[in-house]
Amino acid sequence: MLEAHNLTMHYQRHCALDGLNLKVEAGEVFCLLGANGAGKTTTINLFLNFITPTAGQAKVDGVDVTLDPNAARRAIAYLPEQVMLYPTFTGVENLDYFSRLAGHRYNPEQLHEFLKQTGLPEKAHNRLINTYSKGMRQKVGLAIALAKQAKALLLDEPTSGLDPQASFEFSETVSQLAASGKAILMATHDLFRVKESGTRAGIMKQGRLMATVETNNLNASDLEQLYLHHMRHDPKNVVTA
Amino acid sequence: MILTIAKQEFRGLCRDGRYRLTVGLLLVLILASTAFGWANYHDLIEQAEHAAEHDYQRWRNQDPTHPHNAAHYGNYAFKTPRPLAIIDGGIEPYIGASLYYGAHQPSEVAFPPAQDATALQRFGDLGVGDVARALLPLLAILLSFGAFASEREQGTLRQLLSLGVKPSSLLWGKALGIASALAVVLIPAGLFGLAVAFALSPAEYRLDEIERAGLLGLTYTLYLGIFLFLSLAISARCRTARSALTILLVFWVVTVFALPRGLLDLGARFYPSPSSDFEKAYSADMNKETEAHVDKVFKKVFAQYKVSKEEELPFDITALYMKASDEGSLPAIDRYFNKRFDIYQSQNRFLEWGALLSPAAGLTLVSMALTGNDLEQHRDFVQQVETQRRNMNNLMTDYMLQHQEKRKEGDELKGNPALWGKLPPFVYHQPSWEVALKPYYIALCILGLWFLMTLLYARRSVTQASLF
Amino acid sequence: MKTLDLMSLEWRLLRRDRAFWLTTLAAVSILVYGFSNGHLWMRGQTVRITEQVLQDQQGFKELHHLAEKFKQENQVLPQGLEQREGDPRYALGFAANHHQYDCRRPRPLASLAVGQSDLTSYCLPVTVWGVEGREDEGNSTGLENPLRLLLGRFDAAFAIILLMPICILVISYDLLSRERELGTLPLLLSQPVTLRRLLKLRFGLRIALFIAFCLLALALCLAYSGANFTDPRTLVEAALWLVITATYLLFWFACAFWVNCRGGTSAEHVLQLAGLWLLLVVIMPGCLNLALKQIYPSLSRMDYIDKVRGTSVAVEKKKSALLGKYLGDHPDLVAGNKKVNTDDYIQSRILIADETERTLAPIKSNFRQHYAKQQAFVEDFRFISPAVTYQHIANILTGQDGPRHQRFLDAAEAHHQALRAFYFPLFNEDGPNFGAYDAIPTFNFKEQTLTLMVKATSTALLGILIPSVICFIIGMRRLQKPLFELG
Repeated sequence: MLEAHNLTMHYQRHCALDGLNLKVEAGEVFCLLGANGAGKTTTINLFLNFITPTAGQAKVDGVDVTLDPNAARRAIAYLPEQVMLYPTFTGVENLDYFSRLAGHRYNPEQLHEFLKQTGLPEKAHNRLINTYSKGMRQKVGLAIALAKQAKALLLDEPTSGLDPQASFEFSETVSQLAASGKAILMATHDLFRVKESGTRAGIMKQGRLMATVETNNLNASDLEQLYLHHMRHDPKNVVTA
Repeated sequence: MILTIAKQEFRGLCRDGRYRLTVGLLLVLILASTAFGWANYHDLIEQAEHAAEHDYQRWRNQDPTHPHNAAHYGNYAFKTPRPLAIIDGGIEPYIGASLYYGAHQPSEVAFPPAQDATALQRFGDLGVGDVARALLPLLAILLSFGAFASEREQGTLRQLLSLGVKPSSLLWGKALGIASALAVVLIPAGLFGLAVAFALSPAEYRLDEIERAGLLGLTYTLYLGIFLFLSLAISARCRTARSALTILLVFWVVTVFALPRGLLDLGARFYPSPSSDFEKAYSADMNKETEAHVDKVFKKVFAQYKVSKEEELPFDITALYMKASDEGSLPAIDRYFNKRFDIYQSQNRFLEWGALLSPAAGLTLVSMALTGNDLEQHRDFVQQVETQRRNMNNLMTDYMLQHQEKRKEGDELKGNPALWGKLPPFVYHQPSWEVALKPYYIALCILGLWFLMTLLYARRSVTQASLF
Repeated sequence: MKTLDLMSLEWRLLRRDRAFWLTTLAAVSILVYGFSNGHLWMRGQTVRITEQVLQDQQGFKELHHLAEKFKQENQVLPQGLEQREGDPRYALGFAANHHQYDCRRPRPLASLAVGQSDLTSYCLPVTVWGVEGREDEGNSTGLENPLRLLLGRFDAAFAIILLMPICILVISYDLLSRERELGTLPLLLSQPVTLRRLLKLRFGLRIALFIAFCLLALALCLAYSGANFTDPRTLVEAALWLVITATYLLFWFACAFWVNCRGGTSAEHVLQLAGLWLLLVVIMPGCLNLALKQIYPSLSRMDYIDKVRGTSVAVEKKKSALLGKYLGDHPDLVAGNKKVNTDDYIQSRILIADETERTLAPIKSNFRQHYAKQQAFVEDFRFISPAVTYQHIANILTGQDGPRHQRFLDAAEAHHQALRAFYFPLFNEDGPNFGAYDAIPTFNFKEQTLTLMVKATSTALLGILIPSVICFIIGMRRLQKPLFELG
């Protein structure tokens, strides 16, 4: 579903992404781990064609994103780290607005259903966004992603700044989505969530994918050890566990 | 502490390429418009002196002719411009600098230069005064809109205050820093103004002119201070720099460009400018009153000589008729003159009180008054010319009265160069600045009030400013 | 996604955009206030002109009746000059008492702009002896508050040229950057709608609404104020005016579009747009004005006065030679016997009038030529700023431009010359049987042809449209680049 072939991104002299090869199948949750600046967000931006790769290809559902960005964007739903919405619209109105932009038209019941699905309390649905907390905005963002009925989801550090309960609920939803056959690429720092909802995890450092692991083979502390190992050592050799 | 902040602010501004560019452009603009104003001033003065000299000579060299004929030929009075007119031309382009005075009634305006110009003049002359009134406030806004709002957005405001800097010291420091950045433009312009006033004015008016220049500088500084403190206040009140900038820009456009026009047009709705009815009423009243007065005088003379017709009088009554008709017309002339200028004054009062809404409106009035190109000084000029006109007519009729014996056909009364020479050339007396400024004390006070209020507002806003 | 759907989405955003609606409301109020000011001025002129025309007709009728009455009653013929000047049976008497005012009537759209019309007299008394008040020597416009002339009127044209761009700035400076600063841009961009399309629609909707509201308000004002749109010429002029005004407003939207597409923060956009406004509306026209005055400095009116006075002294001398014993200004003041040789006096007076006009002609034509040069300069350089272009064409379309006044002066002068040509031969052999009332020349003023107006408007239209299109294209190209700062 999501494919990266030798994907490379240079900013002047700085190399943000260096020959990334990656494949996320339908039903899979692929988590990108790594320090700030390791290239996680760059990868997501490249899939969205917000930026043009220096070399290599990013494909969504078999379509090269640079050739037909709109087709690719139809196939992906995106949840930014900070979900920002129109403050003068209510939650439902924002959802409706973005769904229509994505080409869907829902009746009010369906819209409320999407919001309920993400766990947004019903009494908040018709309040203006500027009264929402970060978690609530995140839920509307997820509802927008759900309502888009995309084949693939790109999640950029979706749980950062959420309280434990919200974070848990979020992971549940992600797992359900994967189970319903979506391909999910998630950049995150939350090793625990990776173990809970991820099927595979990739560790990135300085623009390179250092390792890819199946998460069901590992427990959370193994994952942590592996992560720390890669962070402490020189990124010359790619190790596959 | 305050000095440190001021220095830091000033240095920061100086490093900004945009500031250097703007200041450079402004200085060039001021220089260009002064150079132009200077040349224009010299032309005007030369022309005025030349024309006045010529016209007076022509008056004196008239062939012997009937004195009333000579009065009809009349004279032109020229108003010598003040050196400060280089800075602010005021209403001069719309009234001209010359007035004709002759027999019967005064004239008002002759050949205003604006009539010979294209519609382009309506965009403004871009003189030094215009630049200072319209563009320098913009510079003040640009330099200060971010003073607090940007620091808040960058998060440095919290840091500053966490160091124990008092918000008010921050305000004074920043105000001082920005003021010094503004002074880079203001001080050269101000010094230049003083130099002009000193160098160009004739000795008898020099002191007055220098005082006027000083006051002008003070008024403009006060005006800029209003914009400076208002900008700082808004910057402290607004959450983002962009909203501060937008609010200030709209304030600038509205108060500098829109309100002065709008207010004066509003004034003209309440006090409509004299129409053709006014003119008709004027000439009707004047004719009626003159006739009545002449009748009265004639009746008295007839009674005195116990005659019923002018032919029966032992002397020619023409001179008496002239005198009576002159006297008879004066009350109407004065009345309508005052009525007309009172209407203008009432209209302008909207601008004066309008200074409460728009400091630029008040500044326009005060600046014109100090540079000698306002309505009141024009009124004074017209009145001086009218006095001269009356002197001339009195001289002529008195001569006629002295020679009112009956004459044969072909032997008319004629004045001679000796008579013409009795009329001194017209010299315009400039009022001192106290007199010139007097009608505008309200505007000046309102400007002061604005300054004070914005200062207090800035202080309040800074101490109440949110840190986030 | 269909454009219409997208439009309805944009409309939702716009509906909640308080700044847009407040600004549009302010813009419309400003325009209506400006219009009412212009209308007041125009109505004042119309009333005065109507009165004047009525008065002139009345006067003519009365004079005509008087002449007929005198003829029927066989009144005694006048003895002296004074009496003859008062007797309408003579051409001299009729000409002396028949007052004709030549008036520059406001055009149907005159309420939209005061233009130069407040500086010049619009009603000139024209007689066989001259056109009075032409150079404002009399009291024709000396009655306006000079400060009001200096500051200018708050008319619709002023509101459009100076204030509407600021309204447009407030509406559109952050149409793209707002999304970025709000943080909604990434989410928006992840949708299958290109930014170009979205921005095109966003601007399109606002441009259409804002311009529609402004123009509708003014069109309603025009209709309400009694402009006669059944007259095809008025209709065409109004259409031209609406098109050029819409284009001028469009230009400022195009600037905002371009600035938005350049990236940067909203605060930077405000600065850039305000700078552009300052440059195009204040500084460029001001500098052009300065340049004009440098290149074609106003001819000295003092010099003019000097020359005129010199001429009149010379003429005065000839006058005394010609008239001998008669006093030029007051033939009634001649002492003693008032029976004078009237015909001799009239012939001399004609000679003097000719002499005066001949001597002053070159000086006056000098001024005319100078004005024409200045006007040509402005026309050559009007395209440096759309504000100048717009002001120029708006004055033409509303009939408030300087050249129209010059044409009016020419027409008045032609009228005066026709009167001379008509009356002078009659004066020379004047008898008490003047009856060619219908042949007395009347004022005839030809407006500029519609073709010329259409042509001028098209040029101006191009002059404003081309920079607008360039701004749009540059903006579009900038948006094409996928690399777009998101932060």
